[in-house]
Amino acid sequence: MRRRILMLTLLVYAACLFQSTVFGYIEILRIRPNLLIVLAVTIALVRGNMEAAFMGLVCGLAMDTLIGRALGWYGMCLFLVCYAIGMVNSKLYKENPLIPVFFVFVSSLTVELMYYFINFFLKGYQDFGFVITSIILPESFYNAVLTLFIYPFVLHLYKKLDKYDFVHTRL
Amino acid sequence: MRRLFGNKLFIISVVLVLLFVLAAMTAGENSRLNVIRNVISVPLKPLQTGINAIGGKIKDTVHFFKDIRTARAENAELKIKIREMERELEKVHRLQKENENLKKLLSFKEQYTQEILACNIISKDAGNWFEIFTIDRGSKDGVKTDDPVINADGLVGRVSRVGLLSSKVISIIDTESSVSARLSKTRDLVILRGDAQLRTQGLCRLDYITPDVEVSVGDKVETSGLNSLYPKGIIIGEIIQVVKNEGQFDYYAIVKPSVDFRRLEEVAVIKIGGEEEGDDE
Repeated sequence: MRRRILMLTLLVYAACLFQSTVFGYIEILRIRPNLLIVLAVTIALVRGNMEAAFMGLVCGLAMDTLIGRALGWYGMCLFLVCYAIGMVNSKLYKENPLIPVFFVFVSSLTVELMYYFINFFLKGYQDFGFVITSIILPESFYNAVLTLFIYPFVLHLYKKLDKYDFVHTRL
Repeated sequence: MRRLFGNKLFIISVVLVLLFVLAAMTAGENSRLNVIRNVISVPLKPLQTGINAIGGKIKDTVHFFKDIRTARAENAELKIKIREMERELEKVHRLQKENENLKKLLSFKEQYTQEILACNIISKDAGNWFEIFTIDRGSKDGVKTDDPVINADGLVGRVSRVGLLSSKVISIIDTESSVSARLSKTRDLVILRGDAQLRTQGLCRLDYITPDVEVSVGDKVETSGLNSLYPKGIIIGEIIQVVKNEGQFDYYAIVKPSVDFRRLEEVAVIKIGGEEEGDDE
């Protein structure tokens, strides 16, 4: 268990580091992917709902810290989304690589929409169409593409961890 | 009680309530709870600085060959420019002396005691929503919330959250930023704010321009010094478009900041009230 906590903490820190530095160089159309959403959702796909929700919460709070505004909104959005994914994932056929891609796309869409509604829409900014077409959709696409690389890595990591802990990855 | 904690719905609602409380308490920029951020920001800082330095080096090598081609023509051009500037600098020195003397005569009080702290940008905004970046100085170097941030070209923004080793700077093109500004030519007061659409092009807008104010393309905009945040007379940018809406009382203008936010690498924090701080220590 201790090894698991250590590994997951390192994973979240590494994701933060990449998100805040390297991803600045791979921006397309000034949009960068959100590695922490991808990470949280891919972990949620291989875990039960409570662990998934908790990892979503941690990744979300890390994202909040990186952004530098009120702590908690990304945490909340990812917490709920990951819990929902954790509920349905045992019914999924995960050999198909398009399943995680699809899930990351839909979750990114949901999380970013929730974030937009909480942080901008309720304050009276009226630029919904623009935000959807030029921020939320491109970012979700980008996240989905990123999943192709992240999901196998997360799967591999969890299989390794489970070998030590005798917990079974849901496959 | 045990059954209560076994209930997932109960746990979820507790976490949600806690998150709401956390968000409410950390929304204020001076909130003490912002210390939590150090958990992430302190260990990341040295790594971010390192990666940023490597990234800069790679960029330099890539641009090296391209630069060499343009360098010669640029060199000749710059030499001419330097000569012109030296001439003007002499004039400026003379005017500065004159200005100082006149100020003494009027016993004019400087608005702030200022100390300038040079900083590197170690990470640009992590998400796509805000124009916030991280600099490599924090409360350890005496940075405080709301300190203005400038670079050689003009106003960049202000410090929004201070960590131990690094702090966040919110730039003037962010949607949440507003600056009390003045038109350099006519001395009229206006408000400069970020705009969700314009920010993606590195622009911002001047709001609440009343019809009696003359605004034209090419006018320079500077800080007014009216709110206590930004010192007076820092250059912000230039108006590139005036937008008038039919039937509306006021109109707005689009401003191109003199700072290029995409290529920003080094900035300087103006530590306001540097003397007071000396007394504290």
